[in-house]
Amino acid sequence: MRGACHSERSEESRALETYAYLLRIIKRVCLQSSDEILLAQFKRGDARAFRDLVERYTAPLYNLALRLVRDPMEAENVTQETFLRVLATLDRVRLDAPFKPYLFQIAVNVCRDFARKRKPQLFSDLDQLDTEPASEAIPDDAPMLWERLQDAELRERVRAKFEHLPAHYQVVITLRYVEDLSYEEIARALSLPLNTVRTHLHRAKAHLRAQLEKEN
Amino acid sequence: MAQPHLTSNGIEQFTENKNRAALDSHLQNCALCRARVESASRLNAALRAVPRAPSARDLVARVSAVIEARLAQEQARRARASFIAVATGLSALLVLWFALETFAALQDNSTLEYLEWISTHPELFASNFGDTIFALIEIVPVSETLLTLFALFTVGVLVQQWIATMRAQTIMAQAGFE
Repeated sequence: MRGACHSERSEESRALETYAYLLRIIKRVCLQSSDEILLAQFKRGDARAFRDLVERYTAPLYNLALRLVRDPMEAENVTQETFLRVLATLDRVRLDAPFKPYLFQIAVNVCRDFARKRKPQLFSDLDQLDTEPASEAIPDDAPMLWERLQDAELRERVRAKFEHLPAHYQVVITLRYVEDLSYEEIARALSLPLNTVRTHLHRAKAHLRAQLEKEN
Repeated sequence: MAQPHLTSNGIEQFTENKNRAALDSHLQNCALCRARVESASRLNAALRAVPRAPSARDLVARVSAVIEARLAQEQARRARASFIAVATGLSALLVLWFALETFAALQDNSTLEYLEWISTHPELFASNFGDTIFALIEIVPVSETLLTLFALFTVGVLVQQWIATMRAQTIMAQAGFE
């Protein structure tokens, strides 16, 4: 009886995941083409098109920048500078490639520049991701206490723990789950090899799981 | 023989809908992996629900204003580009023309020989330097006229650039950015 119930729940969960996945694909396709259209319009001299891009990406860029530079004023400057750099390199922007990863790549580079000038130690995390040792090992086969939490409570705790994660973990998680970039796009944005991105994301989640487990 | 349990990477692939068909058969017969997949899916869903950090309400407006200012500046710069290019070309021609005129005049008036003689007699050069310069100016009146026009042209370009820069700075200041 219990097994059947669990199986039904699993099926439901899988169906929901598939539905969410399809929605993400549709959303991504629509947004991507829309970005390209806006860029093409802007290149033809429609200033309003770039304003739309600014409205669309100011919040995501600010969020990413804040995770990296940890200073609201600096994050605002990074956001502004990112758009200015896009303007400056407009001739090199490819309309046949997704714009969003390109934008985040510029933002990360701007953050690096800001950090190198002002607080070099801030970015050492991201620059040394390759050499980072494996984080706490999580036993995969034992059910964890946090898994018993209700969805709403789990979301709340994850949100709280996320804020205390190291900057580089916050960045990969933000790019993957909040901004919905693929592994390839994250690799491009952070200028890291694809497998390194996979490893970082795995470690970030393992770190988060460990934190959640510790609390429980 | 039982299939081995999914690795962390396999679970991640399943939650990302990659390689799903191959993993599905194992999951149908393995409660442990099903539980792990469900756990990973729940964590991913919770991570997707993490909100973006709130930014200042007027950030979009301020960034847009800076972009507008930069665009205006860029447009002004582009509009001036052809004018500046023509001015630069004309100025270069004027300089060349003036140099050739001067050289020819110096040769015609034997000034070069005079200067050569003076260089061997530096004590005389000190007393005749002013006269030499005035003599050179007097023998090239056309060049003097062109030099005046060139100077006026240059001043015009500089004033225009200055006005455009001041306008851009005013817009930037209104947008709240230094």
